[in-house]
Amino acid sequence: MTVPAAGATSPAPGPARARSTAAAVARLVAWRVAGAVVLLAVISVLVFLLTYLTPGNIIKNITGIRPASPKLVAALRREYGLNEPLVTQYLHWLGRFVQGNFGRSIEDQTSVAQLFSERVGVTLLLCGLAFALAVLVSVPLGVMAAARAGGLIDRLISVGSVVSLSAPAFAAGLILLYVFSYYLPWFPSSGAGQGFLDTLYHLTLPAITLAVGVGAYIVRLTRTAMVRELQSDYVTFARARGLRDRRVLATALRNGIIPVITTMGLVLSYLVGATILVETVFTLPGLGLLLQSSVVFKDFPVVQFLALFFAAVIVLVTLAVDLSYLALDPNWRRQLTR
Amino acid sequence: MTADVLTSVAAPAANARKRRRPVTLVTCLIILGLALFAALFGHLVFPNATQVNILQAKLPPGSPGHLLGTDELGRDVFAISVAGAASTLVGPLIVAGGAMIVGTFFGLLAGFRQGPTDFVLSRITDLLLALPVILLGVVVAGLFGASYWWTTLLLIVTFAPYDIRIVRSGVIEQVTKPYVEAARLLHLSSWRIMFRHLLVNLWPLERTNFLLNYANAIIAMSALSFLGVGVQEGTANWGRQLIDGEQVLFSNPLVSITPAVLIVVVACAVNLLADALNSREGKGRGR
Amino acid sequence: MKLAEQAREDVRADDLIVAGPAGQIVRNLSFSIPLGQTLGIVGESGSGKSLTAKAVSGLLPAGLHATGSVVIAGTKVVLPGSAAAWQRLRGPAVTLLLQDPFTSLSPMHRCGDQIAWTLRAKARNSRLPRAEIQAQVMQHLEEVNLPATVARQYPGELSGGMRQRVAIAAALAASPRLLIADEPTTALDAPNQRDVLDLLAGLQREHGMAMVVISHDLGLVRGVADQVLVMYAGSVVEQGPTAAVLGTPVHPYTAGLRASDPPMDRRLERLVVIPGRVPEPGEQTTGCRFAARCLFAADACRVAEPPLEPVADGRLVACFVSRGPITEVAPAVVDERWERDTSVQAVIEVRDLTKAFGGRPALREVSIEIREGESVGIVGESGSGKTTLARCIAGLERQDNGQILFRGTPLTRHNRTASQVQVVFQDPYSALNPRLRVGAALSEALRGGTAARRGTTQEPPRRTASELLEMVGLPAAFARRYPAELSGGERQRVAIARSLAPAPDLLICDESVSALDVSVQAQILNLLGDLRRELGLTILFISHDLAVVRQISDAIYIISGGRIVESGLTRKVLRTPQQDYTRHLISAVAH
Repeated sequence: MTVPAAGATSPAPGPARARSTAAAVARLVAWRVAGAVVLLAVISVLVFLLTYLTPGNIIKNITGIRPASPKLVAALRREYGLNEPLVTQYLHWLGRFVQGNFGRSIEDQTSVAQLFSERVGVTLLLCGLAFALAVLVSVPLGVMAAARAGGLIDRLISVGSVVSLSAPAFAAGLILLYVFSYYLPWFPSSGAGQGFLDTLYHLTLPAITLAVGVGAYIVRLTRTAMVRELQSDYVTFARARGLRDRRVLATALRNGIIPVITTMGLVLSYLVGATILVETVFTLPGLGLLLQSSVVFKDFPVVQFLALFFAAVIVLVTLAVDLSYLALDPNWRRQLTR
Repeated sequence: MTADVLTSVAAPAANARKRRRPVTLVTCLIILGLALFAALFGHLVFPNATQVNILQAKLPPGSPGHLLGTDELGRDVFAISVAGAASTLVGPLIVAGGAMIVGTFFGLLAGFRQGPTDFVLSRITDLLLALPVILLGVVVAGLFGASYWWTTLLLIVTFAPYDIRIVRSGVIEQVTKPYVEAARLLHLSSWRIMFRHLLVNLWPLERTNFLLNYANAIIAMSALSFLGVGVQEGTANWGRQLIDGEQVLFSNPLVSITPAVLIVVVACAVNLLADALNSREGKGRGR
Repeated sequence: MKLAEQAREDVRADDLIVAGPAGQIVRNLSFSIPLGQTLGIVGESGSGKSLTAKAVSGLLPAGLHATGSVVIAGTKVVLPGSAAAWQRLRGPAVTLLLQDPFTSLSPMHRCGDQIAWTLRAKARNSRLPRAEIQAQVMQHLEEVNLPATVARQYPGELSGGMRQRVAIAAALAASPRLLIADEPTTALDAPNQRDVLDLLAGLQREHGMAMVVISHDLGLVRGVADQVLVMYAGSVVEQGPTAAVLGTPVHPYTAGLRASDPPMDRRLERLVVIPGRVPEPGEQTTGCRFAARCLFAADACRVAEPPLEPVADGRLVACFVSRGPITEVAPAVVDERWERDTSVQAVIEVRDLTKAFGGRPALREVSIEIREGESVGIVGESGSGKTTLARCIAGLERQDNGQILFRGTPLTRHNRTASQVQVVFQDPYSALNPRLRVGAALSEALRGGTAARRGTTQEPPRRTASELLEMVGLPAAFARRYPAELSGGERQRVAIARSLAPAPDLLICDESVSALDVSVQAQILNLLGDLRRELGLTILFISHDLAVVRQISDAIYIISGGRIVESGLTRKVLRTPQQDYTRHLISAVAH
């Protein structure tokens, strides 16, 4: 009796299948990377146009407060290719950029690259510290709140997270600064210190400030994701056949990890932009303050470089999050071959 | 009802939660009511809040006539805080409203039409989402010299993509449901389907989103004010007061801490209100 | 001595009550199952059968609590029971198998691992070596007739039937004394249902377990249970040996349930229905819960609730009026002599329709014909392409190749109107806009649809929303209600009314009764039959259920793997099927 097979919806696993999955994954990765590159290119155009869109004479923007003799003006026009069509100028600029020539700060003529390298350490360390702190504290809190949903711990965590959410980095930073740097002088109030350990010490309070605000997002989203998973049928079935609570929780977490990762990506992107706030409160010599002072001074090369840097970091983080789904979700990988 | 599956919880917990809800809701509404009052009538209650009075400068908290002390220009902290409510709270309201309108319109289009419209809108959204809000504000406002209202407009542009995303995914979730397909079969106009069928069912989402946007806008705008964007030095504005007061942080900390606490309290009230409305909605729904 | 031991091995439940914030949901349920036997619990939605299963395994959701006692494997648990006690019992004493195989397994873990978890949990503190676990996993897979390769696969790669077997393997790995299967085959297609049930019965014998099978399907329960318990709105109405209870029911509800089941061997003029609807859980009624819908209701029934009492041949019945088997009047059978009238124009003609979704073919050169006034059925399993076909005809999907002709004219994206084809969908709970009152939804449908016809020669009769409601048997007062205030059956009627508003030439019913209880299903099928007679409606009925299609369609197409396998007059195809696949489908249904 020939009966159409009511069996598997996809052919049994085998080498041919593994190859087609790998090919589909590679295609997707290539597609996503290409998308990121395009995005960066578009942003670079916008950044490039900053000099030209800003009100005021272009030459004035470039020369700044230095006196502009006609000879200097002509020289600048040649150097910056201002007589050529916009597109060519962009390509030249892009070309220089890609080769590592980021220009010089108008303010004091130091190379942008040098300014950058002096300050990038502080900002990256601050972000990294804040992120690590946020994730290591928030994810367990979110899981705990979901596991005891409706109980006292859950309510405390929920209320706590709403309060932290509502505390912008600068407000929290100021309060922390006052309490822990002045009232109880446990931490320094400004500067980044010398040497690695000292820098860590100086960055503790700023990192906590940043972590408090973003950590709350992670707590809430982890809780929501976990509550949803814990209400699923597979959790009920797991308990129904006698699996231990710990095993059940681990299963739920594995299923709920994807929205949590998405949130972590968003949080990291946000952190990158928010460092400027704590750098202001705690007077840290980081990229954020550099950006702010350059903006005030209309120091275009610096502003352009930093803008592109921050955008690139965010685009890369988003790309990494996107690609992580491929690694984490076997069903997503399989759907690609359809 | 959130199922507590790892510890068996008997009925009493659920009831306790029900009884507690109105307290949170009412407290939030009271706080927001006061904030609104201050925003609308602050300048009537304290017409001279921003008047400089050097003789009274840097008075500590508890000084006669100045409960919270004065700042470095002699202005009463309490008075200027009340006066600052307007600047801090009105702009963000417009940001939240504007972002919601833009987000709803384009989110509906993208989710319902799909195809090329969706593709283009999603790519634009991706682009805008890649730009960090605060830094964008600093750069654009710093270079172009933005005023308070231009800053508001800038924030609408940066907040809108989040709303577009949220509305779009809400729409996509509803669009496959039979009642929408039935509307399509009846050949109702697209606009009618989008507004009469999709939007009304997204209303709870919209309301929560608006409130969360408002809280975030308050925070974002005061962050920008803190950095000097859109607001002049010395203005009655909580974010601005925060940075202005850092100079006297160690003689009268309340100059900075008062506006800091106020921002946290109001933003918190809005967030809790959104939460309370959300869970209330979740309980009331039948099938 | 032997008897006492035997009795200790029984699974018992005594005076089980489940209550929630709204009141009692399940009342006074008691049963006793000897090891090796099966108890069937039968009821429609709202009967409380699933909650009973959860109460007996300590998995009630928060907010609900149970009282009474349960005895399993010699251990007595006084409900609600502590978390620790249930942790010990679940697995080795009692295991619950859930209904939906698509959600009962974790999508992120391999099947073999999920079975292994049960094994490790069973081993408690002793750590079993990996090889040992692997070997046992393979054994369990073999037991459920699955190949060893399944162990490395994720649930998403398997069909519904295979997933359910993995779930069974995972459940049995705990070696429970009592296995509770909650609607184990409802989410599966007919041929799969048969296989899974046979598998469960076989495994029960091998393992010597007691089993509880919960279902709304009487035929299924009859085939597998030794005793049966019939529930209605939280109360047990009849209980006893299966053959007696389901063969010669005493309680009017049981009789009504049995009669509502559409037969496969003949076509009835009207299906027997139980009028009215099931009360909401917690809805308070005085007297018998079924009195409002009972044909035999007497005054005594409305005053006090009848107790469960023994009647003849070992069963318990809760009824004041009926004390012996109810003799049913055989419903009138349709004298089937209908033949297709080929002179009548085809309303819809489908020629060589082909459609694929991203490389996966859904329809392969399908051709069908629906003539004016006919009722045509399309039967197939899930994934056969029947829904895709319906959606293409309706214009919700666009075909890759082939034509759809409406009265001879090919349909394109631009020449479709609302008055050609309308659809009644499967899920009544999402078929209506929750924010629109019934009356407003119908008015909108009337306005939208007729606008398309204006200017043509065919003006549809001017109807109002009230008239539409009357046509589908709902009171005009319903116009003011929101969908949330209606039951599933009532919502489906409104959906039908809405689809009739533009006076369509063809009405497609896509699994329109599949999500409804049997008694409500009968009401809707009768309604469709009435509408067809009154309005001369042409109907295309899509279903996986052969018995239902038998009752409503004159002609039938059998579809599988995107191709039409067999077609013809319904009575002929089902009595003398020509194709193996058709025979396979028919045999799977017959209990």
